[in-house]
Amino acid sequence: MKIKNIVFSSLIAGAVLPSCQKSDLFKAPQNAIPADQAFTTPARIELASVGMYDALQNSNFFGGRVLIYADIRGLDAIPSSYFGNMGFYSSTNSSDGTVASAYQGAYRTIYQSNLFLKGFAPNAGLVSPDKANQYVGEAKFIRSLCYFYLVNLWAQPYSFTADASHPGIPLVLSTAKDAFDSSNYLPRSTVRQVYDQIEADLLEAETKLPDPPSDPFTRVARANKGSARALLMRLYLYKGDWTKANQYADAVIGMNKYSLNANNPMAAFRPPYTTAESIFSVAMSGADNPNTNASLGQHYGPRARGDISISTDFIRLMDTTVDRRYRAFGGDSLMEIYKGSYWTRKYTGLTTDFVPVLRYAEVILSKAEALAKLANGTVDATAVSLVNQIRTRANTAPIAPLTQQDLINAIIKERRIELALEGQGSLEFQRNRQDLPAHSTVPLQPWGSNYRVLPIPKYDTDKNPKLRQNDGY
Amino acid sequence: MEPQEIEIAGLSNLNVVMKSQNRNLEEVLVVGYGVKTVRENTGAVSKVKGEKIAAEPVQSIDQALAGKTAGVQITLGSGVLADRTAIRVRGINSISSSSQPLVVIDGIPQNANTYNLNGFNSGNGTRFDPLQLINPDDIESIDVLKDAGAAVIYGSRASNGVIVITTKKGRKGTTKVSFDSKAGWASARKVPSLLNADQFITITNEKGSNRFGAGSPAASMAKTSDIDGDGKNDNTNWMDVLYRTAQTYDNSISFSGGADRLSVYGSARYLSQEGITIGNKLTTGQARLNMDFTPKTWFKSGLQLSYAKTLNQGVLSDGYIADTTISGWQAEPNVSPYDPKNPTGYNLTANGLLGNGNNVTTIGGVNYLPGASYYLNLLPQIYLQRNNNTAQDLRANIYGTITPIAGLSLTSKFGIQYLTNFEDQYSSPLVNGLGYSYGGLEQEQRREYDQWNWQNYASYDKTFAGVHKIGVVAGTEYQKNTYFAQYTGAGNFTDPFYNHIVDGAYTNTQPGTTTLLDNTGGNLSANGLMSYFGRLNYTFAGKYFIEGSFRRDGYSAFGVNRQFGNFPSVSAGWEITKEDFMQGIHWLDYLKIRGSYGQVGNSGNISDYASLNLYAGATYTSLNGLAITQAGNADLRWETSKKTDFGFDATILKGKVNITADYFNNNINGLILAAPILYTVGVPTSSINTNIGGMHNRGVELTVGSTVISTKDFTWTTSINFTRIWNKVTGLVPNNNNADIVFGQSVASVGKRLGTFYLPVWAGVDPATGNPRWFAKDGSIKQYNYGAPNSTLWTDGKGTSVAALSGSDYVYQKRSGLPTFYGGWENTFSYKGFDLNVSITYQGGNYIYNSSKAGMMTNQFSNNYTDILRRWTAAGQQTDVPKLWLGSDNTGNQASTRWLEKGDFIRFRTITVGYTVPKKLLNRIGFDNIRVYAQAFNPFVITKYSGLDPDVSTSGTTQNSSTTNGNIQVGVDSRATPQPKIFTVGLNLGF
Repeated sequence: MKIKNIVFSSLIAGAVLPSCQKSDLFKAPQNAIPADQAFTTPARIELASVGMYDALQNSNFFGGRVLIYADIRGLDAIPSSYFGNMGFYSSTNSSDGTVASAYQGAYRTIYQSNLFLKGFAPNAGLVSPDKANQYVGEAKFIRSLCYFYLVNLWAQPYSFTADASHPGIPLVLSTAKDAFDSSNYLPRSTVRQVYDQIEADLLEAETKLPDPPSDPFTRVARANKGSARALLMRLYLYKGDWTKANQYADAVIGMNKYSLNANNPMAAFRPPYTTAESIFSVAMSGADNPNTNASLGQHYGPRARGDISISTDFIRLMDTTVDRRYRAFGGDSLMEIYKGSYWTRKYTGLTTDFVPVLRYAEVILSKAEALAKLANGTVDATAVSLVNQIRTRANTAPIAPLTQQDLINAIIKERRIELALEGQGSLEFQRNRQDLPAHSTVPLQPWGSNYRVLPIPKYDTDKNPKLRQNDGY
Repeated sequence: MEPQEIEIAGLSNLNVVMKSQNRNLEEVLVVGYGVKTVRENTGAVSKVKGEKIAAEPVQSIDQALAGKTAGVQITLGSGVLADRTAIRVRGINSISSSSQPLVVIDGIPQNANTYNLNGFNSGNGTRFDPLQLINPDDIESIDVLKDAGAAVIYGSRASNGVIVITTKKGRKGTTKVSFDSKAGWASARKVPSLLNADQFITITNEKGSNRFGAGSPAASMAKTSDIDGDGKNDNTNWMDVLYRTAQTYDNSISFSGGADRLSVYGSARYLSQEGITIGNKLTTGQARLNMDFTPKTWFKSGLQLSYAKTLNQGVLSDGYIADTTISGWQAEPNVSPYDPKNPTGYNLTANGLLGNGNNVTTIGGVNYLPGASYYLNLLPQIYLQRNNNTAQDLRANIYGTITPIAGLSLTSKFGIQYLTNFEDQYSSPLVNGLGYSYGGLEQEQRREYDQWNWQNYASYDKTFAGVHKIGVVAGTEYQKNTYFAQYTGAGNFTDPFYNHIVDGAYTNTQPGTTTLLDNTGGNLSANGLMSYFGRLNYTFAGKYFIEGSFRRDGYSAFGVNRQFGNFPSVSAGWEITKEDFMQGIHWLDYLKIRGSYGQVGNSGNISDYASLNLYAGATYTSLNGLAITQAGNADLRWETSKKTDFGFDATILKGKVNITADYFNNNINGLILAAPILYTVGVPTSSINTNIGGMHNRGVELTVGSTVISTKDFTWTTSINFTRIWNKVTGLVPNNNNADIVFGQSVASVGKRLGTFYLPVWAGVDPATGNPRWFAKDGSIKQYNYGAPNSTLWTDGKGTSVAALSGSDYVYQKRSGLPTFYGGWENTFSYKGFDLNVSITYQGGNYIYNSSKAGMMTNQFSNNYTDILRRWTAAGQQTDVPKLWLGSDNTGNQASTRWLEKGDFIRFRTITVGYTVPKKLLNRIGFDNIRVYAQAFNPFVITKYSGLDPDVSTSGTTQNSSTTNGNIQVGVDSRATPQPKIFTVGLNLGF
């Protein structure tokens, strides 16, 4: 062929022979942020911190379900088979799907907090020190809250052994680089170790979190010093450390940010759910809630799903002729009778109710209990007056116990009435070393017996050889 | 016989073997980035001529491939127009990724993620196969690349085989115009046999009286009605209402011509095709222009341009309450769909449901209908509502080839594809469902799939010293795919007159409130591919062939650690009949043995960002947030298939018979499965997609073609292909104890065929009581006693209480939904101007789980299959249908081998009779060709399967479908629309 053609065609070939850069073809996604870019600006860090609260709304855990699980395992909420064998004690086994989903939901929430801490640490310099402290405090608060419920539902209570050396739950405090690596096969830490970790995290959170802000929504829906102190108070109460429990109750009271809603036990449970009585709740709204199959209001509402009605045992605790936690007043009530059963009216927003976690009423009763238990042989007068604050607010007769034991019994009973269906039902029986009497279709469950704790899901015990299953499962 | 030219130089002997036209060894096969002759081909490639595809009245070309070639098995989703089709080349090659082959059209790969363009209802509302947009008349040929030798040049996308489609080109020295016109009538070949009004009343009342006693209100709950006011009791045959005789008109015109430097092919087509379900219709317009231009001897260039637009008026089918196969099949026959007293003219309650007439469906506060949304009246449901989508496909390819020196050519080819789909769903406020809840709801979604592809390759062919022939190809390919989707909607319309989104016609609020509905959203993603490939082949003395191919693919969706992969293969062939020692064997005209081994990959359906750790919006009531939504896998990569193939091609008996046989073995590993992760690790979904599983497919293929009789006036040619295949899952997720992956009644289980059924074994009906029975794991009987107290609900048939039938009684059946053999048989007879063609397809070795029947034998207030007339009524009766028991207790109909049936079939696919006007007559009127024909498509099927069609498999078409359960849940018949039989008359004109 002619030279000119060869030259000509080579020129064309050269112009056309290609190259495409890899960067033209392999583009980053535009519909999601790659993980390594989620903490690159202060605005994104703030968004990531909010993401932890979204994880806390997990529909199998703090979207409301974990409160329900604690309560249907108690005496006051009648267990429903909608929640598997969660409320049926001896029928539960390690393959139970509801138990597994709850366990999975808890660790999913913890993972989001750990992931935040990991991603935030190298970028902490982008925000002010106050903000940095706030974020770390929030992460540790959320994580502690989840561990508190995990260790109290899946392990025997603190006093089960002398030094709480019985098996607790695996403590996951960081995120795995390789999800399949054997370093993920954690054994169960002891209950003591779990409590110590929660305590350490909450003490750190207490110093780092800000004071409760003036905006009611932020004060209730996000963690702050008040929420950390209140949770510490509960931790010490469950641990049996009355001195510290009292100390932290005082710390909350002394902040002068919280108060009981005068004469109205219902107000804390009505929109906007942000009265001065609420210390920390998981917020919900019309657009953002666990929906029909996992909202507190749907499960407890007789005209909604109506899964959980209230036992007569609970009703008998109250003086139903006057107690405002039962009777109607002002056109509203906290309980009702519908189609022959008792139902709570704490969650009438159906899907929009905030999930109550820490409330000022609990602080008052916890301080009362701590004082009562510290005052050996006598009836602590402050404790009595504290209880009567709750009683009077509920328009029911004040107590006048004659002995220390009478006082303690009265406090436990008042706590059961006041904090009903807020996620402490069965936990109270656990920490107070009480047998669970036969109720509904459930036989007697003695304190310390195997079925009083939930089984570790088989899904995990099958894979993790270091994970020891609870006795009896 | 065909004339031959044989190169003499270098040959010491001259053997001339006359070849029949049956096997044209110089015929060209289109393999990637080049062509090969049949003679030199060392891989397993099958060729299907375009006219065979165009001859079938199906909607898309993939459906037309059924039975045409060994190794390719087609399963239709259903008889709904343009439904998804499963194409399996040498078996199912994946579990959770796509098992569909790569489709390449004129050298440009089809966007691999688009095998169903619709997205509403998670992609299983109505479904639309984008291959419908290709005009079958434009196809010259389809080459199926089956083994590694042929397909490896497509590297990481070749594991499921490659279907190479070539469109027609103009030919030099000819000018032709061709006009094709078809008219067809389709109807359901088989519809469910349902009870009529009288039978329904008897059966329903018996359900009630068995349970509540002969004197109870339930024993007379079904009553006659006359809703349409015609003076006669209503007796509706819903099958007649739902299915119709559908009409098709298909007209296309094409022209092709070539002069010295330019050849052109152009075509246009308009199709109007109704489906057998009322309201189902496709309207398509397509146009194409292919040009090849050779301005200089050393430069060739060309353009392929095509555009297609289809309006698909779809119908919901399968498992939706609102679909045609629940409301159509189960609605009671003793009411009419029409009610002159209703303003709409249809029989509708105030809630937009089918009025039940005088039937009493609620007794004692209990509603015996299956649920609150039953039944729908399918006439207004179809006629007052819409489930449409409009797809448009614009493709343009341009290429240039330079030949600077003899034997060397440099080609650059650039192709673009703009594929859009607009889905339009309207729900009427008059009909129960979303429309009723929202006062009329219109939902729209628009998706756009854009692709550009750029290939550059050099090829060099040269023969040295007459015996050494070398061919080399080396090149690069870049490809980018971009996807956009937006959806929106509007609710609460002013009047049912408005059924589109028009300003002012709606409030878009929840009726009765001011809460604004939020129905807007969108998504976008992209992926890119960069590749290098090369092929080297060497032929010695025209009889020893060896070839090595290699491809290196980098794909953006693979994990960062494994973004590039290498795919090599080697293949060889030996044309034995050219050897001296073979010259004495006269009955063997041609024999070539060949083999190949190589490694290819599958990246089908890996989502664009599957390997990354991703954060996405996570709101906390009114606050915006970011949280992790996907824990990725930086090692995520293609699934690997090591393919081995041995085969031979032979022609015997003086060219009368051609035989091709292959043995193949595909060992697949690195299957992408969701490997479970400890709950305590906390990652979303507690699983991460990992390359971890294994499977193999082994088989044999045999194709025999023959010109049996060939005389001046009469010829008879026949061709049969047969494929036998063995599939076994070899590995799942080790850290999960290789646990089964279960979908419904089908499992992927190590050591078993994919799609093996896992069910309890049915033990029949107790003749004494009419109660259903199953076998427990240990072989003892478990009988369910309807109406017994809790303590004796389950007994051993002799009165002793036993535990209820549970998952522990399930047994792996030695039966799977995957066929073990399949193929086709075609015979063509021609006598003078007449021709007769009979095509048969067959398949077997699989079982079908008749889930439709399980549902249609329900005890609820519902119509039933006429099988229910065999129900047990008296002590001592031997029957296979348990006694009736009104209510939601359908324990007797639970999943078991009772519904498992053999799925073997022989289908007469097409019988065509045609007449071609003789040449003498044609010349007088100036035409080249006139042919008229009549065709019956799918006229009968020979099978033992009692359902509507043994080839209907809802694999991948159930409500919660994904590709995973599409590959595992094979062979489940769940209320798919029946396949049609179609009668067509057609005319071809050429001049």
